[in-house]
Amino acid sequence: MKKLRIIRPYLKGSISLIILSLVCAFIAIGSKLAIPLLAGKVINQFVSSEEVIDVEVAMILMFSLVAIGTIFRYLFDYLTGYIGAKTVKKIRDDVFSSYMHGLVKDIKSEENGDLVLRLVNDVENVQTGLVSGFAAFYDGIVTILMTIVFMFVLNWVLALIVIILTPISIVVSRFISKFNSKHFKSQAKDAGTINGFVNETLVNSETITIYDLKESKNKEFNELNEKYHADNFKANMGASIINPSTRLVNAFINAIVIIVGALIIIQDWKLGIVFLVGDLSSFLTYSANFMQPFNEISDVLAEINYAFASLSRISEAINIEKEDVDSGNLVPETIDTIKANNISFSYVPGKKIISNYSFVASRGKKIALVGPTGCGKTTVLSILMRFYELDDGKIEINNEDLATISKKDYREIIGMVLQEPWIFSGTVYENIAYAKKDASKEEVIEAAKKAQAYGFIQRLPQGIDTYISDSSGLSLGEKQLISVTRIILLSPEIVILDEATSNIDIRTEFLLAKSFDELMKGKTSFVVAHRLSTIVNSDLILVMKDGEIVESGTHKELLEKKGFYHKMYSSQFN
Amino acid sequence: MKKQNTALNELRKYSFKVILAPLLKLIEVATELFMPFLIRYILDEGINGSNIDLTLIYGGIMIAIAFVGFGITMIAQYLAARVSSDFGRDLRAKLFEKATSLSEEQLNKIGKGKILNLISNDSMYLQTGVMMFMRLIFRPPFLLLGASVFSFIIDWRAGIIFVSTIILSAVVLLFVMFKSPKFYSKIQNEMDNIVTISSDSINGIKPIKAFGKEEEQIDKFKDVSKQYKNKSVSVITLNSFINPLTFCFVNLAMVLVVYIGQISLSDPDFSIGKLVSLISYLVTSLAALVMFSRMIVSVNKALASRKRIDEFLAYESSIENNPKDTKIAAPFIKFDNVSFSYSKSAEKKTVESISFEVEKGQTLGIIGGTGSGKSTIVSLLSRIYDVDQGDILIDGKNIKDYDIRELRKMISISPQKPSLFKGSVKENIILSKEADEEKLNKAIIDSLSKEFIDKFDEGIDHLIEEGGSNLSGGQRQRILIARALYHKSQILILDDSTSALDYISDKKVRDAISSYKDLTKIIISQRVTSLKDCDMILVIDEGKIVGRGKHDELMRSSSIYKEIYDMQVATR
Repeated sequence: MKKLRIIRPYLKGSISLIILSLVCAFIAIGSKLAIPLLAGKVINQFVSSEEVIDVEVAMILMFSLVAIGTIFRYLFDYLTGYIGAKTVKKIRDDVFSSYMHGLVKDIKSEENGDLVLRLVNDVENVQTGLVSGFAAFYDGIVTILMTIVFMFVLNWVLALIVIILTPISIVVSRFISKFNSKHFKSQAKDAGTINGFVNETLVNSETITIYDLKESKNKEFNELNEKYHADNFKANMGASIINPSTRLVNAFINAIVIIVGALIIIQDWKLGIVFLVGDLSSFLTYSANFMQPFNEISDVLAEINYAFASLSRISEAINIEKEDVDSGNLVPETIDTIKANNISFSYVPGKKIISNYSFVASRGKKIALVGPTGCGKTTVLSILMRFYELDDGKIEINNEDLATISKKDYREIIGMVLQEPWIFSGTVYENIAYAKKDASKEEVIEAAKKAQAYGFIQRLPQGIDTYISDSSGLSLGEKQLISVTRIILLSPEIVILDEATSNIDIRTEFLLAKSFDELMKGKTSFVVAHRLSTIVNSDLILVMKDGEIVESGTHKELLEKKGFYHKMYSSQFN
Repeated sequence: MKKQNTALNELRKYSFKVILAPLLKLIEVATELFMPFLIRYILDEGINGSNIDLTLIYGGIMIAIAFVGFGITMIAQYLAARVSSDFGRDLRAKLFEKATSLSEEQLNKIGKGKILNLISNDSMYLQTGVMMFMRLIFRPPFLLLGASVFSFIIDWRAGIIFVSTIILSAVVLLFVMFKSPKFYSKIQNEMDNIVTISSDSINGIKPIKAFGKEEEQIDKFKDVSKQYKNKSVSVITLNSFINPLTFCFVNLAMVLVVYIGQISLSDPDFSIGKLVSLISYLVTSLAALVMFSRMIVSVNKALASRKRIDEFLAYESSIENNPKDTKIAAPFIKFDNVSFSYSKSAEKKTVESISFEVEKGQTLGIIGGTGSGKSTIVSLLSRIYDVDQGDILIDGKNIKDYDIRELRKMISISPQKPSLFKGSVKENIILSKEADEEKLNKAIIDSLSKEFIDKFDEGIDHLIEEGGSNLSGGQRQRILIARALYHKSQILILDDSTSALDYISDKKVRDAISSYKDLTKIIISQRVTSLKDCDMILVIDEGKIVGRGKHDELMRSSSIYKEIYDMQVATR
């Protein structure tokens, strides 16, 4: 129940609605249950000579109860649904905004599936489980309690019989559920295996066609399918026993009630109450449906359990550490120097990724980072973007500590192209103009031409208005060209390129180099590229190894040094 | 004649059981409808006649009938579980079979994510639908029908009230049933939008932060989220009518029945037992209506799934197989004015007017930029895609006249995109159970895979994880080459297969391959050095051949080729 605290803030604006809906339910259930009671009293007139109840008044009362019950039932159903949708929207928006404000290290695209699952399925589970579930739960409990009260009012002996016999059914369905959960688990596991297999088959469909593996893959699938089928049958069968079983118990209770009730009337046992045929009739409507809410509650309990599991996953998502982008000074008007002073950084404490790292980059210069795979080049660029916090040392802009400048303001002057290009679902135009909202189509086309992207864009079905997505069939190289176009359009103060052209063929890259030179003119830029030809004209090359700068200088200086850079450079020949 | 291919076809072989289960349900319903009659006799003969024996006998019969009903229901439940899970299995197998028989073009058009969904989710919804159908679909109508008939028998006025109540409720339920699917599909669309935007945003967290677009992205999300909420609320507004209205109709009927009883007090034909049994029928009817309205949701879901599945099953592979004997004298491989584009409405074709010839045993090189159409050319050769225009001939026979499996057996490809299966290295190379050890060894040695396979503790039985995530790029490429070599017969295609290998390893692999004299080789590469020794090199730019010849000739005749060469030498 402690977990409920998580959704409390989201219910805040709805407290009065919630109370209203609970009251509505109370009234609706009360009216519903009072109708048979009155009907019984009217029936009593058949056998009783004395006037127990004014029949006309009773009829009018019953009609009003029907009307009240109908209206309040609608209000209750609508309100719980509405509160659910409203609450869940707030939770969903909060989870999303916590993703957007989270730290880059926590929002990994490798975990995209899980993060989206929390946002969609878990939030949905909260809606069905906690909101609708609690409504059904409340409905059930109130119905049971009121029914018991009405039954005791009518006849305490019969009421006791019902209450004593009820647990049989609960024990039976508990037993079955326990037995079932085993099969449900193995069924879920089988489903996961099948899913993985189908996915693999679809991903490798070309290979399967080329090597004619259709039959063997179908055979493998059928083996998995058979296993799933066996567990699926057991789970289904188990689940379908519960309802008839409770129906049986209910019918049994009902029969006992009518036999005992009849005996009470025939033998005229004095139990301190008046009990006539009409009362037995009312009692039967109660006992005939007594098990129903128990069934519903047990259905709902499973959903509520799911919801609690989901709730803790949601709370993890909401409570991830947030990045403070707003506080701090404004970034200087012009950037004259960017200085790294002995900075160090580690993802895991104790395992330094970057250490003793210093450089000075002045306005208009192109800085290149080179070194073997895994030496920390991308990490340095991420530090420059302030995606990660430094362990030690500081970065200065015009001799002002970067940490004192607002991240939001600082990032506005930087543009970055990542190794993994980002394409979102939208048109080519929207994707390119993302960073510069007011860009006209002409500007975008102009930028695409400079980025050597216009050629393939023209070949798309609707050119620049073609709807694309990450999985719409663009090649990695084409996606990179779109990312590059974005940055050429934005033309930011500081340019960061992390293997921005790694999947673009050498000829296009060569043509692109001119546009890059134009883009970087007068700007400060940081470039990582594995093809050394793209960086030979840099103003400063930082040669990295194991997170440290081992050499630095221009291409010419470094070659003359005949050190690590020279070795790397000449290894490309052999 | 074409056999109709629909999801429910798979249900045919179970038709006996599918019909039997509702019939058994009919018996169960009959036992339930019998109960109020017994109640009536207990009241009229037992209580009114003060007859304890009769009361006990009727009560005993009630319990006995309940057990009979239970027994019969259990048989029906068993049949439903049996048939629905058998049906689910058959349906999944059929869907998977279809998925593996469609062409690449169709798979991409339909969307692989959607196909995955069809096999795992939609088949499940439909299976549940069949189970619900067998278990529940007839219960409520039978109960309602029975209750009306019996009420007519008991009292005609009550009968009229019953029928009008049921008609009114049915109208409400049917209205909701026909109205809500439209709402649900709108909600599903909004949900798709939520998934798309959140998945995009998580993947793009770095660029979003770099561009300072967090708040904009959140606003975009809130819009979509609000749309979803609004659509949900409109369904809630509609669905919330079901419970109160059915409650209203049934209880109004109850009040009216009590009223009829009241005014018939002096009528000797009317009795308390009759009145109570009528009320009991109404209680049963209300339960049936509630059950029916709950079922609507899952039935609607199943119907939507059935539609999607049937659409998918209606696809026929777009690659036709019509083997013919039509041999003419021609070079071993001949492309005659071939054009093709993935999107038929694109302004420019993916490859255009491609013509070339290759003699048996020769090596053809293809070079060109990103997206120039190199890989497409070889996909056309093995009919992964069919040409839009022109002809391709192998050994003097149009590839469309080959039996498609024979054709594909002639060609082995090492593709650009690493395509690995979960399983051992060995299984990934041989792609079947029985290995020709000698061939396997040679393939491993020639592809230079031996050096890294030997380093694995389990050697060739080393397990590859999904998508080959536990191998380096170079290792993946070499396994693919080994696979192509193991399966080689007449034509070998290496599609940019050595890009992750260093120059020396690249050369070693090429030397090993050129020792197969009878094999016709096609090598696609971005490296001039990889193609230097080819008998002919095609230079592709924007889907067209812009240069052809041997290395030395191209250095003189093709400016693009020379440019690539110069740049690569400059890089080195």
